[in-house]
Amino acid sequence: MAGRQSSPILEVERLRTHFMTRAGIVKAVDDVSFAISAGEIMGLVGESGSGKSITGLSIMRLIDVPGRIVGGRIRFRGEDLAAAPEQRMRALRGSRIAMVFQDPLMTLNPLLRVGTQMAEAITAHNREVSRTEARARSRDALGRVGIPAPEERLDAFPHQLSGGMRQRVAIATAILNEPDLIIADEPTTALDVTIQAQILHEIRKLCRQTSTAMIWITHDFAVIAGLAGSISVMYAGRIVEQGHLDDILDRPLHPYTRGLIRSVPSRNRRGRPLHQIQGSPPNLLALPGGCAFRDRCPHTDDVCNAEPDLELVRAEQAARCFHPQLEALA
Amino acid sequence: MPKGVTKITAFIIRRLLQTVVVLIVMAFGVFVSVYAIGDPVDMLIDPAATEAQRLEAMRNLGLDRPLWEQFARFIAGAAQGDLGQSFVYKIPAIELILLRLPATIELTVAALILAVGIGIPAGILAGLYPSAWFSRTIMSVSILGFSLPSFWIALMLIMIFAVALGWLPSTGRGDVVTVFGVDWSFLTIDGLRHLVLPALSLSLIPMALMIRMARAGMREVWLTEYVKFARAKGLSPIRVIGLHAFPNTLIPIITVLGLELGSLLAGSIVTEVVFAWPGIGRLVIQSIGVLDRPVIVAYMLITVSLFILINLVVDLLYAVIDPRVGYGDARK
Repeated sequence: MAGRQSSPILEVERLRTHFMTRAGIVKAVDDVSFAISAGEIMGLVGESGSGKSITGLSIMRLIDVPGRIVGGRIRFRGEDLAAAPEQRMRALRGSRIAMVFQDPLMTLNPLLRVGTQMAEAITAHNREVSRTEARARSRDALGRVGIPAPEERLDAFPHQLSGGMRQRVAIATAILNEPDLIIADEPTTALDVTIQAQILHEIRKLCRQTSTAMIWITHDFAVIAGLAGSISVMYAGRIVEQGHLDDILDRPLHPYTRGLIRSVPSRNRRGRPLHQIQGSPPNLLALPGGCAFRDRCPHTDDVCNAEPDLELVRAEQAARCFHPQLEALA
Repeated sequence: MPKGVTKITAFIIRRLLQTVVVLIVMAFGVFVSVYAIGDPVDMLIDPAATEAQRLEAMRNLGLDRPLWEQFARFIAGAAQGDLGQSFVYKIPAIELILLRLPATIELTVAALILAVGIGIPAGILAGLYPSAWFSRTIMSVSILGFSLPSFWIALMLIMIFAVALGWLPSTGRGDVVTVFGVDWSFLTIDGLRHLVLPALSLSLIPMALMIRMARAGMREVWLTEYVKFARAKGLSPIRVIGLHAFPNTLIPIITVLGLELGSLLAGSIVTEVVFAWPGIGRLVIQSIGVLDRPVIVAYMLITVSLFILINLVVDLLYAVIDPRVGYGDARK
């Protein structure tokens, strides 16, 4: 559905990443497909444990044992990353595909200066760049993400910067080599709301300027609204709904998506209690057969004991549900 | 900058003042305990000596004075660097110890080099590949290193390498070279050969410790986001491990290393006895046997001072490793 105009820069096809734990196989990512074109921002939405971060790490090929990509393709500019040798992946990481992590307080090495940690992202991919030049490029990148006095910040240690500053440093590091794709794993979750808004604004600007594609991983529809073009909603390792942001926000098909959207505070429902989804995310080690959302769903019936497929319900909006909700959200 | 330097100076001065108090209290403890054990004169003079000879000997050694006076005299002397004469050797105790100390330092440092040089890489490897066969082997070896008594390991090493194979000598320091008036074994081939077995036997426990600490540290640090972020930048594995992961495991490692260095300097006694290594450990065992109090006190003072000095250096190293460490007054 994504990438109507240009050919996609990244196509994930039936990706499956499993963890072979002592207690059994955890299917953290199970049959996930999506595509993104240059300059597009895709939201990957879901609760904790839904597999959205593992999807991001799978694209980076940073899954550690006991995890493993067991199936599917990750086509990045035509090349299958799922089968690429580690050497090749290292050349792509940080250069063509960059990643920003969730906790800004933990994302920088506490023992190294900011400048060192930025410059190494440049020199790792191009040995001919001098230290002075790497430093100058790092300084410019800090300026682009709105850090005042970037020259001084290069000599700072991470603990001397605030959380918002550190996340900007991480984002600046990600854009150093002007990658084609940035995977942002809840980068604003740990920040307060005003900083969050500033960073979102700057990221949108950056993506537009450099036509960088971005996967924005979040559990919060409020963050993704107004940022992303398309959205994939994940639940228990699978995509349960996929489509354009506006379509999904107005008329979500899957009961889970509806629950997520209705749990966002809104001006229209001021004073009323927030909606909450019944139950808790399922244990991935003991998934019930059939629809994984069955036990928490208000519309469940006997049909749901069978496994639903992700099917187009409307033009460019697909859902993995036997009872897609067709009416608009109140 | 000057502000930071003042802070560190204040920190060091505070620490040294604490040291003086510790040393005085400890010296007093040794005086009382040696007094409680028995009368050194009985050990030193001929059992057939007359009462007059006995009194004469006591007067010569200053043992006829009350204990508090002996202690006061000792402190007065210690303040001027005089720790008294050995009852047995009739030379200053401090000289006796400084004569033997290099052998112990040499043995200890060699053992720690082995422990760090083998233990840390092995621990890192075991931390990076926790389920590989070689990691399991490394961990089993470290358990043996912990649990086998060191005298037994020393005897086994002697049996295998000195007796059965005849590759290495098992007693003494071998040829030595004198540098700045001090004898060193590690500067000659023969001396090095003599050093191998005692150093190896002494290194097993700290090596096992280093393996465990490096492994635990790596496993913990490898899961952090900054290591993931470093990997996501496309850095080489060597840089990720050597610059991002390992340095973040160092604080506990050097803490333990400092403690181990101190306790090996003071406690390589068993190894020194088994391998007839002429260090301070053997000296103090002999001195305790004959209640040679000045030597015992001097030994204690010197080892405690070394211990405190090492820990001071470790505390200062924290700041070298981690920029977040400061030396402000903890009570503030």
